[in-house]
Amino acid sequence: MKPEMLCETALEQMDRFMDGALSDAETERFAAHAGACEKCQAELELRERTRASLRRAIRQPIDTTSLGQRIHAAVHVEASRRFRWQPHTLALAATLLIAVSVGAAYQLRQLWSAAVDQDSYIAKISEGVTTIMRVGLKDHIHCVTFRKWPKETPKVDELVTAMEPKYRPVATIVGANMPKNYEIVKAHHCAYRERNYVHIAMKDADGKYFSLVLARKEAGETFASSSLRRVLDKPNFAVYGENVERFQIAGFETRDYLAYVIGDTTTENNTRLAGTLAAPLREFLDSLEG
Amino acid sequence: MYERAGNTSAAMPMHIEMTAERRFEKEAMPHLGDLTRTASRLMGDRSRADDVVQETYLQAWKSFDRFESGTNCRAWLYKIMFHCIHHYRRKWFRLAVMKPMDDYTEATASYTPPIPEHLTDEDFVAALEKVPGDFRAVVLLVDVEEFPYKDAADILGVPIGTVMSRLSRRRKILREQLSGVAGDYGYPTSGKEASA
Repeated sequence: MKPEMLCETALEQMDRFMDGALSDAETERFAAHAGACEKCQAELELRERTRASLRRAIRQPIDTTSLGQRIHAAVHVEASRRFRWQPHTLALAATLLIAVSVGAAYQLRQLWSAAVDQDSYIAKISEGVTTIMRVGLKDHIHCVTFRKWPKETPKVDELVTAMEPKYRPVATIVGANMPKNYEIVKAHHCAYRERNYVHIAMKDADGKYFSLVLARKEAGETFASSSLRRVLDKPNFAVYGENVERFQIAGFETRDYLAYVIGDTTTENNTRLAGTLAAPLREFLDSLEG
Repeated sequence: MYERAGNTSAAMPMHIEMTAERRFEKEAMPHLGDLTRTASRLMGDRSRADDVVQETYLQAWKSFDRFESGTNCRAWLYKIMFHCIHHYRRKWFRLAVMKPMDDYTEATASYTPPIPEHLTDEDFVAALEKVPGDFRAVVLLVDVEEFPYKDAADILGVPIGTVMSRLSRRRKILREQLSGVAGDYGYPTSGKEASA
């Protein structure tokens, strides 16, 4: 029986039939023809088989791991960039800027207040000791009492890098002569009220701070002319002592330097520390003076 | 109603922006293999294909706020990719030169020479690679990636009729090339072009 559709028409419509792109009526007529025409049926099967084989051959698994990572990174960067410049980020940035400005102003105010407080405190405390003792005490209060200490103390080798090489042995002398349960927490040059110091700060096992402060003598400065109490007599020199509130001060001098051991401790402890440090320091300072 | 990605990514805090990234990951990234495979077949070089696919995803991310969640993300990505490929190889993939359906009937109304069943995958890949790039794209989109004509036309930016015409003629050429491969193997290839 001759099919209604011509083979030429069936061949023309075959691809669209395979792709489901014929209308319902066309599909019905095509199916009727293909069912009755062996040649068109064979051609349809061949085309479908070829297409399936091509699909299988091309759709092999493909490794996109590396490419996927590249894309993730690129998208993330783009997302971050976009976030950075969106209106809400600008608003957030403005808010943060205001907050930081307010915070900075507050901090500046606090710093200014602290500086004023520090100066007032130092001035007040200093009134309780002789002029020559004030030299070292001011630096100790400025540099130890009003300092925030880092949680992790750097090693002495690192600390002394901030010192002039000729003064670095001071840290070594202190380290070698201070009690075993002390540690050096600062070794540097510092200044207060236009006066320069060499400063070694120590801390004992109880968290008490001590300072060794060296200052070059200015005109007329000496312990000898003071009425200070001699707490230690060393060969060729004396160590003088004074205290005010919680601060214990022991001092001695060389030709060019004033040296102080100051502690937030008892007189006994401070004098003991001064006694162990005084002789080697005197020797060192004498060597500097030639 | 579709939820537009842009509603969150354009004006919300960072944690919402991260959600847009995750949505992009969920909707777009599963099609990475398909896009890479198609690009590789079109570009003929995996490295260049990777560059194009990466650019595709970057462009997609930049316009993700215009993508309607729940619609055909795969077709959307393919459309972007073909735009990137056009940009990358404007001359090679100059699809605008596609002829309309004028020779459609002439090209397809004939029987195919016999093709044996046990050709290898490599034979099919080699036959496809002999098809010029712009024609190859239609075959890849419809026969391999199984896009309907409408989507393929949208992806390529051509009328549906052009897709149909080009597809049928390229399929025929492809089959004839496979038949030629069969001839190389010693299989009979006679009895061809027997019009009804």
